[in-house]
Amino acid sequence: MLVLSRKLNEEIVISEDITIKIVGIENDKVKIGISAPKDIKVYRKELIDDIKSVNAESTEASAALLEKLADKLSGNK
Amino acid sequence: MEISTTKFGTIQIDDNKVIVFDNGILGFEQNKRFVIFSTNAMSKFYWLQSVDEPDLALACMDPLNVCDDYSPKIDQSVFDELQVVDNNILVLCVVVIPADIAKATVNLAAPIIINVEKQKALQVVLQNDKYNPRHLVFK
Repeated sequence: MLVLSRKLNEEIVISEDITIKIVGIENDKVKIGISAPKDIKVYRKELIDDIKSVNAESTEASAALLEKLADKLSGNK
Repeated sequence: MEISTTKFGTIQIDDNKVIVFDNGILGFEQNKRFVIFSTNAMSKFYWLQSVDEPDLALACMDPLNVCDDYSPKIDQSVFDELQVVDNNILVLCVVVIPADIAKATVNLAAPIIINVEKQKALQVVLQNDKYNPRHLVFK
C-alpha cells in the first residue's frame, strides 16, 4: 500500500480526475473530501462489507423458512 | 437446461430465463448467471439461484412489501448498462431470515435491479445513507 502524509487542506490526485482533500482533523477523526467523476463510486468500506455479509447470510435460509416468512407477512397485512 | 440446486434439487429452466450479473453479486463476484423464481405463486418472495453453484441461492423480496414508498435513486449509468427501455425493471432486495423470523431483515441499501427482457442485472449500492442494509421486515 502506498502511504502518504498530508496536512489539513492538502490534497492527493489519483488518475488526474480524482482529488482527495483532507478537509478536517479532529481528535481521532479525519474528514475527507472527494472530487471525482460521477461514474466513480465511493462508499464507506463498512457498508460494502455489511452488504457482502447480508448476501452471504441470505443464502442460509431454507425454502420452508422463506415460506413461513411470506405467510407471516401476508398475515400482517 | 437442467441445473443442480442444494435447496430445490435438480430443476429445469429455460435458457432465456438466465439472468447475467456482469459484475457478479457482492461477495460472490465469480458467479454471474442466476435464475429467479418464486416458490409460491402468491408470494412476493423470490430465490435468486446461481446456475453454476448449487449452494448459492439468495432469498429476495419485492421491497414495496415492507417499504411502500421505496424509491432508491438509481444512476442513469445503471439503466444504460442494463439496456433498460421504458423503466421496465424488476427490483428485488436481499432478505436475511434467521430462525426467529420476527427478526428477518431486508437490504434496502443495495437493491438488485433486473432487466428481465434483456436478462441482465446488477446489485446497486446506493450512494446515500437513507436506506438500511438491515431494515426489519416487521416493525
